[in-house]
Amino acid sequence: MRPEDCEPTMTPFRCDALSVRMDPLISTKGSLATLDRTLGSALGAKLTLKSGCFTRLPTDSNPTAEIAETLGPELDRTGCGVVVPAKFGEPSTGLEHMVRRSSNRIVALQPELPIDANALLSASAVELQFFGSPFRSLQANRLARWIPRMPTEISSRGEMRKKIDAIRMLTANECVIGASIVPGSIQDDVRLLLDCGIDYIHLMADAQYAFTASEGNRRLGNPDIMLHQALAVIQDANSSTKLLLSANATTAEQLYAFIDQGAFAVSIDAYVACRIPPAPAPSTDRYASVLSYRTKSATTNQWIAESINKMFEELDDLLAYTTAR
Amino acid sequence: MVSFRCVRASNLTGPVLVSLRTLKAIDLHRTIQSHLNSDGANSSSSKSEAEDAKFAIRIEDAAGQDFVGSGLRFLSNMEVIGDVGDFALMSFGEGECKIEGNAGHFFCHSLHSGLVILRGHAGDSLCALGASGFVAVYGNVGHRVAVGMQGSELVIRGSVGDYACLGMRSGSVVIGGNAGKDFGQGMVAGTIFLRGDAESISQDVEENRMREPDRLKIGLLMIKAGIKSTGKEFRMFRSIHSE
Repeated sequence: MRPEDCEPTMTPFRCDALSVRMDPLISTKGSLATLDRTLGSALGAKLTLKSGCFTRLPTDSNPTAEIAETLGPELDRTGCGVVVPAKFGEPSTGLEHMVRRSSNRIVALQPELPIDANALLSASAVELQFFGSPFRSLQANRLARWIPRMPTEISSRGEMRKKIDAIRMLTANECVIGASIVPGSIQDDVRLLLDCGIDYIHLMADAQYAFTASEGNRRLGNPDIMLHQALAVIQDANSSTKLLLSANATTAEQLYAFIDQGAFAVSIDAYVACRIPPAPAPSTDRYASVLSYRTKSATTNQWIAESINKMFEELDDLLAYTTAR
Repeated sequence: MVSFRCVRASNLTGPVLVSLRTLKAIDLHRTIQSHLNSDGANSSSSKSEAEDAKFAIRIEDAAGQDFVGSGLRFLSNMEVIGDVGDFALMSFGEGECKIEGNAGHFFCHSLHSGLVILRGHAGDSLCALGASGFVAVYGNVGHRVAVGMQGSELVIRGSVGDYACLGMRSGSVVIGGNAGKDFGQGMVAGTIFLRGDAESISQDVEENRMREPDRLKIGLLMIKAGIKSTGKEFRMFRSIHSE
C-alpha cells in the first residue's frame, strides 16, 4: 500500500452551493428553482406547472362563484394546475368560471363513469382516478375515506394499457395522461401504472385535505413514506415518470419539503383550507366554512387569494435560495 | 347539407382513422366557417345551415385497426367496410354508424348517443360504460358485455360469454342467443331480455313476468335493430336491488 492511499480523501468544497445558500445578493438560483416544471409524454404532449403546485379544490369542494372569481385568475397567474371533474358546468356553482379561466386544466376521470370526449377538449392533462368514492354526494364524500379500485370495465394490465392508449388517441396525443392513487399497496400500484405507460402519478396521501373539524388528525397515509416507496419503484424501473403529491401541508415550508424529497408538484389544498382570516372576520370563516355558503362577501374571498399569493412568494423564495440535495 | 367523404383505410397512417380533434376541429370547423363567410355575417339562416352541416364518411378496407372513430360526434352517417380493432367508436355520439365486419374488444366504450349497427361479431366488454345510444350486433359477443353500462340500449342477435351485464347500472340489453356463467353479476338496475339459456344466473338478478310496457319496449328495440321478432319468446330479468 502506498502512503498516499492512507491519507484521508478531502471532499471538494462546494463553494457554488454555499454561496447560493448564504448570499441572497447573488443572482444564481438554486437547482430546484431552475428545475424544468414541464410534464411531458413520449408523444409530445406537455403540461407546465410553473409554480410546482396544483389544486384539486374544484373537484373536491365545489367552490362558489364568488370564490372561483377570485381564485381562478390567481391560480392561472401563478401557473398552478387545476384538477377539474369531467362533468362540470352547472351555472349555480363557480366551477365553470374557474375551469374556463385556467390554462392548466387537468381533467379527472372517475373509474365508474363513462368518458366524454367533449370534456377532454382543451385539457392539458387527463388524470385517471384509481379510487372510488363511497358516496355519491360530494358533501358526504368529504367525511369519507376513498378506497383504491380499478376502473369498472378493466380486468387485466393489458386492458389498462390499451385503455390509456385509447385515451391518448381520443385526445390526439395532445394530453399528458396521469393516474391518481390513494394509500394502499403503493409499490404494486406504482409498478402497475409504470407498466401501463402513465406519464405521471398523483399520490393522494390525505384525501380530504383537512376540510372537516378534526382537520390534521385525519391523515390517511404518511406522505413521506408514500413518496419514498413510489420513488424507489420509479428509480428501480429506471423510469422518468413524475410524482404529484396531495398531502396535508399547511405551510410553505412543508410544501417545499415535499418538493425537496422528490415530488414534482404538490397540492395547495390543505394550505388553503387551513387559512384563518384577518382580525375583523370571525375565525370560523375558513375556506371550508366559506364553501358552506355562510359567507360570500368579496373581502372573504380576497383574503383567500392573498394568502395563496403569499404562499407562492414564500415557496418561491425557499426554492430560489436552497439547492437540492 | 351533408358532405360525403370516402376514405381508404390502407392510405391512412397510424392506428387512428378518424378522431375527434382531427376531423371535427379541422374539417368540420372549416365547413361551418365557410358557410358563415359565404352567406354573410351571423345571420340566423346561415347559422342554422351551418349547424346542419354534417359529414358522411365511408371507410373501406378496414383491417382491424384500433381506435377507429374514437370520440367522433356530429356525423350524419359513417360506414366502415371491414373489421375494426379494439376500442373502436369510443365515446361515439350524435350520429349513425354501420360496420360491415367484426369488432374487437371494448367496442362502443362510453357510448354517448347515436345508433351503431355491427353486422359481425364483437369481442369482450361490448358497450362498456355506455351512457346512452343504441347498439345492435348481428353476431356473437365475448365476455362481460355491457359491463358498467349506464343507460345505453343493446340488442345482440347471437350469444354472449361469461359475466354478461356485469355491474350494469341502467339501460336495456336484449340477448337473442344463450349467455355464459354468472349472468347479471353485480347488476344494480336495468333490464335484460334473454331468449336462450344461461349457464349460471347470478343471485343479483331475478326473472320477472313481462308486462305490456315491457313487450312494447322489446318490440321497439327489435324494430330499431332491424330484426323481425315480436319478443314474445324472451324472458325478462331485473336486478333484485332495483326499486
